[in-house]
Amino acid sequence: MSTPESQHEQILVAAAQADPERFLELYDRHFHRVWAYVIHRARNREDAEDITSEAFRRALENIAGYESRGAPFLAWLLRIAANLLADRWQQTSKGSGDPPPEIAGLDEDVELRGMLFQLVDRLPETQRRVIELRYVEQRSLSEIAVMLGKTEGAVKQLQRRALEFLREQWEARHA
Amino acid sequence: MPDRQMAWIEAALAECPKRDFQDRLRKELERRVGMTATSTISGVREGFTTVTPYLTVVEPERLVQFLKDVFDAEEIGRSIGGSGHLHCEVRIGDSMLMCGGGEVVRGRERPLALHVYVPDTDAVYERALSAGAESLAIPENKPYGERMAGVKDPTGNMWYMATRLAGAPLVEGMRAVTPYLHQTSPLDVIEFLKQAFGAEELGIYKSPEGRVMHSVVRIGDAILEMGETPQMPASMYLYVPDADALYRQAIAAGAKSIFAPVDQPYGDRMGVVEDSWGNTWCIATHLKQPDR
Repeated sequence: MSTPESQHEQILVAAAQADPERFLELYDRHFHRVWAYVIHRARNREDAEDITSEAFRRALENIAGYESRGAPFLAWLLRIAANLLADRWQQTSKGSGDPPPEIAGLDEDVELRGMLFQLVDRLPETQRRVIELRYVEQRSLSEIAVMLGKTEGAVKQLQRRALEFLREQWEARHA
Repeated sequence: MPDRQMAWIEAALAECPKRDFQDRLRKELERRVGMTATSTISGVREGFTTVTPYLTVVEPERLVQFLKDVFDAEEIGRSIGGSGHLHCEVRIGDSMLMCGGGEVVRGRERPLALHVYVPDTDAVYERALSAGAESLAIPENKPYGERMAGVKDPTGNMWYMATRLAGAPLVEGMRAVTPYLHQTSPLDVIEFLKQAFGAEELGIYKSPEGRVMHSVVRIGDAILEMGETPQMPASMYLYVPDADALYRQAIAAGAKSIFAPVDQPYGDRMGVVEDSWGNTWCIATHLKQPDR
């Protein structure tokens, strides 16, 4: 039996099949989980960006022919991403001793990370920037302070507030 | 355990997507979706939007070559009219441009100004200079988040080339190329565009003295930018579902008729009006594929 959530998704998919502009709603809905899946399996961030981009391009090109067959739309997106990851491994890592990427699809890890990344997007812009500089770019507090024209204390405060928000929201949703 | 949770969150954040990547990808998908969507609007030629800039110069071949060399433009087609007037259509990224002219237009040239998104402003600026352009502004980071440079090409058009430093383009729906109209009275022109073509005003930014520094309007699915400067009459080609109706609406809004819409041999039904500031607007409905 389908849930209201899955019914809503079926409506979104049908709308995107009739009108390609509606595909952007599916992109907004699923980007973070596709990214969470890919970044965990790609060799590096650059590959992850290429593969995520190509996965959504292919999804847009092929959405007219998509049939749900009872599986969620996200599973289809992750299947496209998995194939791209496997192709990339064949091209670049085969014979190098690197193990092939794990292809397992939607799991709790993807859900949790995807949810966290979605929460990061809800942060106020400056806090979002601090999180990106601190954790993604691995910058020091003093570097960030210079980049944002703030004191180190102010940057620390922004980071603390952002982490508190993420933890509160994450706990509320995870529960 | 809260500490373990926080440690998990902090570790996971290292894999967070970068904002500029997210914005870039969304923008790309918007463009792809836009190209698919516009082809289904009745009266609009496939691959075109409501407004296509029409660059009229004495040396159109030279202009097209410049666009190929500098912006990797792709030539879609060309034809020569009885009077020797060349018409050529090129695509830059997801945007179409019409280039035309020849000796027959000497004294009636219509060079335009255009805002064009490029992957690397500095590299494209250098390429433009090598291709014979004159520098109008060296590459510089702008407070609105773009690295921008300006050149005038050898046939007289002005190109404001820009790379977004972060985030999506300034206005949702902006494509690779956006016409930038230089007008002495942009507010009056915008009022005319609203009445004549149902334009929507998206933003007007004035200096403390009240001069219009920048303004943005949308006509159909196309964006136009405008600034208050000495007049540079523009020429635009509009694709609309009903050229006759919009032609009448433009006349009612104060435009002067150059000629009423007629079926053209290239598959468009098209008429031309001129507004009070000397800008010309070709109003067309695409009826069928041209017999090329």
